Amino acid sequence: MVCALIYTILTPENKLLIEEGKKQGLEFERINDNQAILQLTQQPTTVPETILQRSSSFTRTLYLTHYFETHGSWVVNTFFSQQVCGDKAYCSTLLAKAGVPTPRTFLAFSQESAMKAIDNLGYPCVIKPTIGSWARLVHRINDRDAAEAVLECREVMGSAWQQIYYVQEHINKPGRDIRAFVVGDEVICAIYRISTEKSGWVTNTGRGGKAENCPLTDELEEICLKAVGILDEGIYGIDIMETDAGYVVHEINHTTEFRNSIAPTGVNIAEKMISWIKQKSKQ
Amino acid sequence: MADCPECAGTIEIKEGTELGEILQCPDCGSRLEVRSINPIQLERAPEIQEDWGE
Ligand SMILES: [Zn+2]
Repeated sequence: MVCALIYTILTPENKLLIEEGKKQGLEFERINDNQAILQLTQQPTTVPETILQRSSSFTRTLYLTHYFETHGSWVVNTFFSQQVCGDKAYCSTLLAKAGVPTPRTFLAFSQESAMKAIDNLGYPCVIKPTIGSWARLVHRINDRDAAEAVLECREVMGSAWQQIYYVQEHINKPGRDIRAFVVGDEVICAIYRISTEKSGWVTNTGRGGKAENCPLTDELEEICLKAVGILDEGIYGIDIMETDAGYVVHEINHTTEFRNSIAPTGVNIAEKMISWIKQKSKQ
Repeated sequence: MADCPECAGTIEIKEGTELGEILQCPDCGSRLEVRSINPIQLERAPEIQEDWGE
């Protein structure tokens, strides 16, 4: 089987996946998206049967996946799943429709309507870009002055994406949230991401948050599987918060980082991913 | 072993380290890219782009 790994940089995760592939007899053909040239108007003679899509860039991910999927590759994760996971607005819409508890969220396209949405949510609330991650440009808005300031800044930013206003109720979390990993139809493990002095109110481990094992319960597994039910079968990282009313799903990641989750959970995440890809490719 | 270009701390270079690999300095936490293998040369990893995320 020809299996390819698409990547931008050789992150620790990508390195772990390549090494785990070798262990399981799966040699990845490497596609570095910095060097890729897609000849769109000519039929490729061959495409990889299976592709593990690990590009760092959301836009590159979509183009590359669309191309290879069109020509018959099985890409993990699929174009549809990437689109939904990569854009918080699509994800919120589908989660809510599927009955998965998710924070109350509005999408608006002008400063004026964004302010109306914020007034409706009340304070504090949160404004986020619909694409991008690691909590960049995610702001907590504590009052109307702050709201006006943030909207004003957004309005003069260059990218059209900054004028897509995704505003969300602020969930009072107990200084931690949960990242759960799903491979196929199995929830393989979860961690608590605990906010530290360095990370502030953001709990992302990439921003200095601390990781601890989060034991899987039936309730947790159930909400995770329900959440990934909005997507094609694949490999996902689900962000969940604990509230008085139960779990709330915030977002689903389609190219999840996992290096800080292996030690606390004791689960070899790369091994689970590669085994699943091998098993699925045979079918 | 290599020196961190950000903090001059010592970074262990494991066997099998590849060109283009991203390493993290245990001292200052900088993300560093392996730009040359022999001799080992490290540079600050590419800046995170707007549409990068997990
Ligand atoms: Zn350093």
